[in-house]
Amino acid sequence: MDELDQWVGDQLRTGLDQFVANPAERCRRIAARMVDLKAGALAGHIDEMPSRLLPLEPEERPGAAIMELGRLVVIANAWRRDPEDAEIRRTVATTENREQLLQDAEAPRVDSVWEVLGEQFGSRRDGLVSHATWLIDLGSEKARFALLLDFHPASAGRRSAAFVPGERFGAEIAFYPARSPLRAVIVSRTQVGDEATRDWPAPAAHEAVDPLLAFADLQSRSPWMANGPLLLGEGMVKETSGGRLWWLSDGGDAALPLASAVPPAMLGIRMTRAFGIWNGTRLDLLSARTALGSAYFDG
Amino acid sequence: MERRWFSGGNAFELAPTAWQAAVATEPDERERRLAAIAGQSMQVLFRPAIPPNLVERGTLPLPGLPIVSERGRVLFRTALKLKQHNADVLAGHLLGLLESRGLAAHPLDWMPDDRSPFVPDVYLPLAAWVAGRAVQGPAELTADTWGDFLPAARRSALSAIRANDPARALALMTEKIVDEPAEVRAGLLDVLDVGLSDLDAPLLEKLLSDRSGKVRAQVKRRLARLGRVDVSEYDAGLAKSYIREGRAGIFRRRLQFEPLPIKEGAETAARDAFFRGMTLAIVARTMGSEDIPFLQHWKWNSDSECDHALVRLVERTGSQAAVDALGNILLADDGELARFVWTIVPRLPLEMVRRWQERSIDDDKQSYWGPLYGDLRVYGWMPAERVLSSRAFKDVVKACRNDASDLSSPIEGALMLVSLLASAEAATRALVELEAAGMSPTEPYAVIMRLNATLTDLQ
Repeated sequence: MDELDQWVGDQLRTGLDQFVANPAERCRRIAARMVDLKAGALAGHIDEMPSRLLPLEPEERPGAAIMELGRLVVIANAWRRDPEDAEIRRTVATTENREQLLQDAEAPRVDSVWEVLGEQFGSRRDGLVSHATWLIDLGSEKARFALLLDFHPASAGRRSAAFVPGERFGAEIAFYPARSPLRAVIVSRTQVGDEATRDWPAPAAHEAVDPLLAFADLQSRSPWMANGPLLLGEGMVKETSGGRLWWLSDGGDAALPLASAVPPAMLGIRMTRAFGIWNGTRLDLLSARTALGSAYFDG
Repeated sequence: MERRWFSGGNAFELAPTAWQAAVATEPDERERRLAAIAGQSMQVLFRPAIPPNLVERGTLPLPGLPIVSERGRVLFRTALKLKQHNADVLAGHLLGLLESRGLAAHPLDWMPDDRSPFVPDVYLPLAAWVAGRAVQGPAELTADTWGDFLPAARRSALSAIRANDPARALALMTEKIVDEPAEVRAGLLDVLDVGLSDLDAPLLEKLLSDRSGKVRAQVKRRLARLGRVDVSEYDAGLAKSYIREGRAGIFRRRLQFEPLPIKEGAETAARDAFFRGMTLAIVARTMGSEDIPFLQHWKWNSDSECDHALVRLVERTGSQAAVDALGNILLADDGELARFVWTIVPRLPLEMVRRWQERSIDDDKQSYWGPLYGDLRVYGWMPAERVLSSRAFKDVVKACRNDASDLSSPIEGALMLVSLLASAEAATRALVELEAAGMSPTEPYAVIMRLNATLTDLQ
């Protein structure tokens, strides 16, 4: 971790203008060192940093780079403080396998009805494709999400989806122990109860006004988290005169820039709820409830 | 602080006092800790500023028919992603199937192109919204309101006028068409097909000098149908280089027009060029006949390429009566002629289109994909008995029994074709049979059949 600290200090000292101009080469070098030091998960996180920075507008990149480098400092300090912490170990080194998780008595389990909210696919530098499937618990009064994470070789092509966005099913789910449990595996499918007819829970009143409070809460518990799920209240997608897309709350108090395009019709449809992944700078809108029914977007 | 780090250097002295107090004293360490605090602050405390230049688009209107169910939407979206030669044609088939059940696609799943003159009427409100126009357009198309209509809405309104008052439609087109872009000009000429008459000739002749080759080609087709295309006597006389008049039958009393044998590829190309430059009426006249008798006395099935060239000639230049006569000839043939029908489908009466569709799902000599390349025009109507006894469906069942995991392309075409033509009841029963035959639950090309069967629920 001392090498990582040194590297972060070097980027600040030599100037972020140099760093954001060519992050790939710099990240690749330190990521390779992290692999040598058996910090595989952290290496992957660093390796993918350019793909998080470069899609941003040039004027946004320095701020985003500070977030990224600051997060590495937090991770390094947390590791030094308690390398046995399961959550930080997953962030730095490796994740327990399914069998270890199922044998873990501390792993929280939830038996409920779940709806598939959407999927995200990502190409990793190690040749694997990450496939994230986001679920929402329809049996919970408060918003509770689960993230199923799978990896497969890019050479195998895009696999046929195990789940279809909008699909509902009963299942017992085991969460990896964490301060804010999100990543999970399905233990078993179960009978679907009355929850199958329920709609998504409403966002908490304060989060309906300020959706990023949910992300702030996640960050305050686990400041190394780069992404977090957001359940948004009533709002619309709007476009700037320059063509950039934003989610705007009904009251006009909150606005979040979108990471990618949505169907053009969304610019004219009011959303009663929406779900997306916030990465500190952009919202990846994955699904919504609208006045015209459900909407699911490619992640 | 961001600016200092951007150019390189220590930002400690620029940090808030509370942050300075919170970080260590060693310079490198305190810069790192400041970056951690600043980074998390940006994520936790700061909020994106609402941009001042957001554009107000207005509420999306609904299409002119009820929207397909949520279950149907999932299947529609999946079907739209099927591999096919042309995504627009595939979308047209699926929209046709929905419309046959009185339903429209969800605007989040399919939206029209506002610049196209060929948007189905059901989706015109959506096209207007895309274009940023008022959804409720002017009530009546006139020369004054012409510019207020989108191309597709204008074409629709003009077609309605043409059906009731051809002269008024013609007058509007004569006044306005020249100011439209080429794509729109070419699209508007279709409107004249309803009740095409000599009264339309002055406009068509004026457009013969249009700067767009596509428009000129469309104009020539219609003038040809009116018998108003002239070719030189020499060119017309070339017909006798490719066709001969003879006699057939036991007593050789029956008149027959027969394609002359072609020896080389170059001759085939020359013959194709000849047909492309002719009209049916001129060829028939050169051979001493008239259009319909010429078709009736043609020796079909002796030269397939020449047969097809003649069919294309009729589609392009034949009168409606000639097209109908050709349709009857092709559909009555027990051989391979029926596969040429799709060339004239856009001009056939719907009753004949249905007969062609019934032939298409029974003809083992053709590729099942052929009919899918164009507009099928009639969807979702065929009764279960007819679908389930068809060769196309039996071929699919047989393929499922042999190797349900990997259907060949012709079988995928067969499945798509019967899926688009079947009634809802037929689709439901077909799925039962296919699943019993071992069809894979994830067979991608079965999605249209599933969509078709789902649409019953809304009836």
